[in-house]
Amino acid sequence: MKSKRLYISALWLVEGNLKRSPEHYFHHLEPTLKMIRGGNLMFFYESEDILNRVSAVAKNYDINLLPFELKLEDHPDLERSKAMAQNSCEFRMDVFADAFPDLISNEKGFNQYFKFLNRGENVQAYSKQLVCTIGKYSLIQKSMEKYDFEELYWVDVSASRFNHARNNFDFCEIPIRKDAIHHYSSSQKIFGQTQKVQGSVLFGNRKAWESFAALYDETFRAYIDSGCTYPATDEPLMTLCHLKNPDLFERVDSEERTLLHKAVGKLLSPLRRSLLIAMNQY
Amino acid sequence: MSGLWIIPGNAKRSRQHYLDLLPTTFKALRGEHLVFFCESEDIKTVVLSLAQRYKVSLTIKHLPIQQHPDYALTRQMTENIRPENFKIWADAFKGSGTHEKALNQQRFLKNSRHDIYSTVVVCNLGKTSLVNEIALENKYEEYFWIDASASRLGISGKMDFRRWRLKPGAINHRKSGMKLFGNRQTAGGLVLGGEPQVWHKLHGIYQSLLKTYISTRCPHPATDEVLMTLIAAQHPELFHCKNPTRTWLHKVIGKIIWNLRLTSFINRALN
Repeated sequence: MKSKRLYISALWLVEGNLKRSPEHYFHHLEPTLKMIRGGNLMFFYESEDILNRVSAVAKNYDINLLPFELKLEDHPDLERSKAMAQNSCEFRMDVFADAFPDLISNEKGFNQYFKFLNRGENVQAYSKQLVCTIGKYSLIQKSMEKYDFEELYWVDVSASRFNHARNNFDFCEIPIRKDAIHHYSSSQKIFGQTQKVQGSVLFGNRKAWESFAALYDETFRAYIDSGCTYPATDEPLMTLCHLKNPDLFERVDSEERTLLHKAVGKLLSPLRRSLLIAMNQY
Repeated sequence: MSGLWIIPGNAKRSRQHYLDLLPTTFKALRGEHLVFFCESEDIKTVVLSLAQRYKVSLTIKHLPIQQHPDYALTRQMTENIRPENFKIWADAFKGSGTHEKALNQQRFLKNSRHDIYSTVVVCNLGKTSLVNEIALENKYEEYFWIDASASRLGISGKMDFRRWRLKPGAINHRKSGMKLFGNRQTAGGLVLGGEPQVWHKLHGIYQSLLKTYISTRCPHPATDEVLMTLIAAQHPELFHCKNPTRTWLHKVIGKIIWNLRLTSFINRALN
């Protein structure tokens, strides 16, 4: 029987990428492809070297590789990424980063601005790096136009770095439960509020992706047009989409709240504030 | 010290808001010495009458807002505070983000002309300069800044600043409900008290930080509370909260929860 599921991934090595070295991606490539053993994989690439590496690993794991050459310069979202990166150069929160260094790892905008955009010094490379994350939805659309698979799974090349680090990490085993984009949770914050969506693995049926595509495109466009200086990637944009239409999203790594949790919660509810203060979370 | 300038077009507070709260604030100052900064004659009339009613020893200092010592710096600072910077997030987090300073300030920014916003900000941003100025001219042992609207949060019990025994070497303050990127601000700016040397020290650091804030063109709205939080990160000894929320009992319970590895369970139980 023909499989109804398509995995989609991509890899471009951007010179000047301050976020990850090429070795980081190569290190995680094999374990990631191992997870989708026997599946169909549409892979976007630019260099022959990358394609050769991916082909070799795919062959080992019996993956039906469907390569698609796409120069980063031809990526449909590159111009929008450049505009967003340019706006992000205005996020000059040096006084806050000096006072609260933890923000650089915890808060999305600080993380992007100080680590990867390098205070606006690295805007050229950052724009290209940004399109790799922010532009994955255009690639999913492209794959829907080219093939007629019913279930579409976006998988970052480095997705395996979360193996055993989050609940239900084996996304291949998670069935699509409803017409929604299925996703993992994120620990990073935006203005102190937890991001709703983590972008490494995202999956849903064709109907969900079609509904999502319009919302994402509108959100992406509005973000740039607003002149917002808060540095965003796909995850903040997904968070905005989630806030607009939560029914379109399904979290797959929720920690189960058992009867015991609920009973204890009921008992402790009058002490909620005091307990949060005690745990330093208030 | 206190002060009041009614800024036409202030999207944050109406004139009536201040006039409604002034009597209770003056009542709390009964029998005290007060220097009051203001510009308009009608405000002077109101505060003179309240001072008589509540036996406050009042000195009025005429200070047009454009002559405020921090007026020019505040205008420079607000040049970088544009409504569009974070509006999309303020709209998206409406409700859950109301305690986040940058998002909260959005509602004052979007309905105000830029020059109005800048003038409103100098009223709160500039209080340390005014206290410092008065502390240099006088020989009192303790100086308090009291917002004209300080009574909006209640002045009784532990929060009655007249009963505070000031911690030496620190600005004594109330807690703040607002946050900066999820971290609670150090101090609420309504009531601030300290010895003259502490005010001088704070003023020096504060002015230097404000200049750095401007030179780095920071797009985050700054107020007195924001700057004090940034200062407290480097100089925690300069601040002392009079209503600490985390007592030794909280700390002991927190330690027990942590040691028993119950943090995650309780978080899930409390949902």
